[in-house]
Amino acid sequence: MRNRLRVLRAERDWSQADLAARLSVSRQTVNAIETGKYDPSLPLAFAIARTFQLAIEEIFLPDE
Amino acid sequence: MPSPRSWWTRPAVVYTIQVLVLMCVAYPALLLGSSAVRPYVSSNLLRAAVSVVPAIPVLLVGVAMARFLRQADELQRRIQLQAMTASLFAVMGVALTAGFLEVGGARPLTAWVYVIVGGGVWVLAIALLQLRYR
Repeated sequence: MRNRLRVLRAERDWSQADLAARLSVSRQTVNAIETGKYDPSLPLAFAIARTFQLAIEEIFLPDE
Repeated sequence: MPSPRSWWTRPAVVYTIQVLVLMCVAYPALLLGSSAVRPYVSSNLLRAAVSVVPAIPVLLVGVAMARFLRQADELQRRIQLQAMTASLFAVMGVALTAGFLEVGGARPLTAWVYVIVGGGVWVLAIALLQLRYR
């Protein structure tokens, strides 16, 4: 699964640590999601969507 | 916005420090202390109690681990689960092999081997998984 996390974060000028603090997860987790090494659980995906005020499918994209 | 945690208060850092202190300081100190005191204890019951004292820090590692898992996020829990799975199957593999060798007439393995294999594989797996998800 691909995602637009890095772009959305950059648009808001947030560091990985900033986003991790907003989501109450480790910076390592944010980095692993951004680099596609880890797909978040549905609750965390909803939390990410809420944080960016977007729908989940506007952030996470299925692999073609 | 919540501020990022200071690195020394992060659950993974606190947990690592606790495990290092327990296994690298408390365990060797109690092991040496127990060995030094044991010859001077005459009561069998008291000698047995002194002998098992070094197991206390090992049990406390379990408490530290349980506390860490309660605070950890989902990726850290996954890393711990994968490391524990690797450790479990390493110990079971060694135990099974040792069991078959014993049936074939070999000497039984000392219990230390299982602790070293289990702990070693656990730590190694965590290190490798941390690199993978870095």
